[in-house]
Amino acid sequence: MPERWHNALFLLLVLAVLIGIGGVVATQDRPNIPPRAAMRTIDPLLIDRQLREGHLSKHPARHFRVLDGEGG
Amino acid sequence: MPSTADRLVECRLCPRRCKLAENERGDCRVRVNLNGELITLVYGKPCAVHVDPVEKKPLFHFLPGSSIFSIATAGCNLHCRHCQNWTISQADPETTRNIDLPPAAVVAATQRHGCRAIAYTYSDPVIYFEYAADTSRLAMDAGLKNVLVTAGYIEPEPLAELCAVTQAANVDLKAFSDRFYREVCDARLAPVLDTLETMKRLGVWLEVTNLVIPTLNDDPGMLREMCAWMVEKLGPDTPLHISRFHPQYRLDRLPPTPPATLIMAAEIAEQAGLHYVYVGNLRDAAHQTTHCPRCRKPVIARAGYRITELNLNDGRCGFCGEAIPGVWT
Repeated sequence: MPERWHNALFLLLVLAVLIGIGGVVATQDRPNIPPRAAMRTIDPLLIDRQLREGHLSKHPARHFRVLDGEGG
Repeated sequence: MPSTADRLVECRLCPRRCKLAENERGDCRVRVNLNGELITLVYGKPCAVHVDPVEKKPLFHFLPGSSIFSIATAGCNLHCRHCQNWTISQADPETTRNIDLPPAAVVAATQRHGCRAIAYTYSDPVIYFEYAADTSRLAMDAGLKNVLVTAGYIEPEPLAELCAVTQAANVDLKAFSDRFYREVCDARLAPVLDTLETMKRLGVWLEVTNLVIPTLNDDPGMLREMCAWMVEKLGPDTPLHISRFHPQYRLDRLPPTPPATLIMAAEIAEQAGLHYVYVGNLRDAAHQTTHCPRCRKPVIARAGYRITELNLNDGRCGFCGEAIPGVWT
């Protein structure tokens, strides 16, 4: 096999390895990013309106405790 | 009901124990301290209502071939980065399309559709606890069965209340690793294991799903540990559904689980001593068939969600008479 063909094949092989490594890196997700947290505040006016419209309910929840005088 | 005006409220529904000041919502998005009163916004307001094959839940040892009335509301108390129902589970109920379906209407619709059971599913019934529990009670009175499809992230007291009205559950055991739960789901492993043991103890028919995600929870050692725990704590007759991951939501850059990994996981589970191991989300009829653990013949054969062969007589293998555990009638 002529030397230039040999070199070309070698370069192709190196390229394939690099693409492979790049592909693996690209598909690895980063496990240290925290999942999205829910927004903690509500829009009371929007909730009130949707309660009136029947889009939401205002049903008493069970299984809770009132924290008397405790901090947040 | 105690007034909560000007007070903090600690929600004791799930292990997060969110502390809510006035006009704050819990991490689940649906429990709100509204003007000093702890309420649920989603009671009787599902955003997903479907009739599904029971095999889709997945439940393989529960009324095979039947349809199950399935409901869900917005919200979830986990935030799994691979959630397949994230458009509703990670949404505020103000933003979803909800319908008015109080418990009695759910029961009536279930009967109208000829279903024998109701599944509380898609997001997680834990966060619509009051709705699921009240509907379940009415359903039982009407001769229907109730199924929870859940991550099992719930406190013991509400869990016991739910178990009293639940006949079957599929619990998603996401990994046998607290680190995975913390980093991928924003939760902890221990409460889920407690839930599984409690459900078993309280007589709920239990099936477990484990979604195998490349690089995150596909370690053979961890799978071996999980299966050994299941055999010891839940018994070898607890079905395990090993499920294939497909890239979505925030894990959309990972590849789907290679079929070979799923087969490897199934072999580990069988070697650990589990009698009923299935592979889901993969076209593989062999791993969707219930084999009799004694004579090894096919008791229930499936193609996707369809039953293609049923050799079961009164809960026993149609070939050798061995009892096959499950809820069959």
